[in-house]
Amino acid sequence: MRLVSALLLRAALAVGFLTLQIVVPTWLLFGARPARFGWQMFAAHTRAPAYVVERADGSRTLVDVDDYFAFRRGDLDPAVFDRLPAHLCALEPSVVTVYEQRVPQGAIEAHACR
Amino acid sequence: MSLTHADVVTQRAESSARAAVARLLRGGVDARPLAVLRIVIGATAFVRALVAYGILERLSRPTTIRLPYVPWLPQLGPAGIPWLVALWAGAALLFTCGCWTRTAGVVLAAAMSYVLLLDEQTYSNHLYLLVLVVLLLVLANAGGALGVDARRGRVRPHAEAYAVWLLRTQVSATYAFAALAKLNPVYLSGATLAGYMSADLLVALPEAMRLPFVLACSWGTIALELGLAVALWSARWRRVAVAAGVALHVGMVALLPPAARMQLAIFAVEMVTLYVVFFVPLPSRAGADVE
Repeated sequence: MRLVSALLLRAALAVGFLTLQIVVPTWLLFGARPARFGWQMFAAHTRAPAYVVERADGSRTLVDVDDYFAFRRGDLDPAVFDRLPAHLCALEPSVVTVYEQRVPQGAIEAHACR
Repeated sequence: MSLTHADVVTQRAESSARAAVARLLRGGVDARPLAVLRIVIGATAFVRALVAYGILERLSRPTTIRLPYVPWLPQLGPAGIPWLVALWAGAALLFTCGCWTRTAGVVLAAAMSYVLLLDEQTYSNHLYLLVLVVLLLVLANAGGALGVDARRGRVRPHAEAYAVWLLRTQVSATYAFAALAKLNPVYLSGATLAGYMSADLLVALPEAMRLPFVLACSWGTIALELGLAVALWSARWRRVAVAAGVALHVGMVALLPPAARMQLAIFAVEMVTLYVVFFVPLPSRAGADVE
């Protein structure tokens, strides 16, 4: 009886691991790249937008995006950068506008600080 | 009701498959290769704790944006970071030494899982792999040799065959899904890998060579990863696969930017060390090794 219980426990653990190893990554293959927990290493690359902050006195400074990340992974979800303008506004009260250019030569978006 | 030839063949195959699964679930294997794997993975986890300290310290700065991966997970304050890293590093050392191996392994996996889920910036695939491998080594009884537990006779002297088989499937799954995820138009165009590659390296190449080089690396990586996922299971191709795998990981460390090199080196050590599980004979019907 004890042997059967041990075998059942091992079988359950094996099924659990196989789910993590195969079922989850297979499911994630049908979603957007890159997905976490899907072994999608280097399958996508996210380019960080360019940011310029404008202060109340009219001065402007180019932002080094890496100063605001603990570790900027190359495959960060692009949606992460939607939060950066608000973060820059909150950090420095003198900032009145954050300008954002998603791609080089692309349109420049102005985010007014509230 | 009479059985057709196909029915008999199917029944035999099912019976044979059930027997193979039962052998894997019951069987034991030599614990020494698993112990070597435990030592390398434990040491790698220790080094990764030091890398994590740097990332967590930067994450705690007020200027750093927070990107919680699991909203309900309690966030760690700056004062808690050294304690978490100390717990992680201590558990990694005990795991490496094979001292209270199971407990140390579970604590180590828990500490790494917390960091994995803490923030988008603390997630990494090689850390996720470390968590799974440590847990599988706990299940495999990797403390059964070459450690304090084994010397004191606190553990059984053999390793569990089913966990060794799961470590094999982990290696194959990692390579196979890494390759399948790259089968998209952007990656196949070379743009994705060019974005990751060290800029100095590409500039050093003649302009006419850059695109062919990036395309060869992109397509070659997919072919190698798919090949490794399969070839490591074959006794005939295993040694070639090991050489190809080492070349793949060394190439990744050399070609990709210096900022990612430490993490890529950790991933390389994890994967290459895991190849040892393909050389561990699993129990077979006749008592001989399964190949």
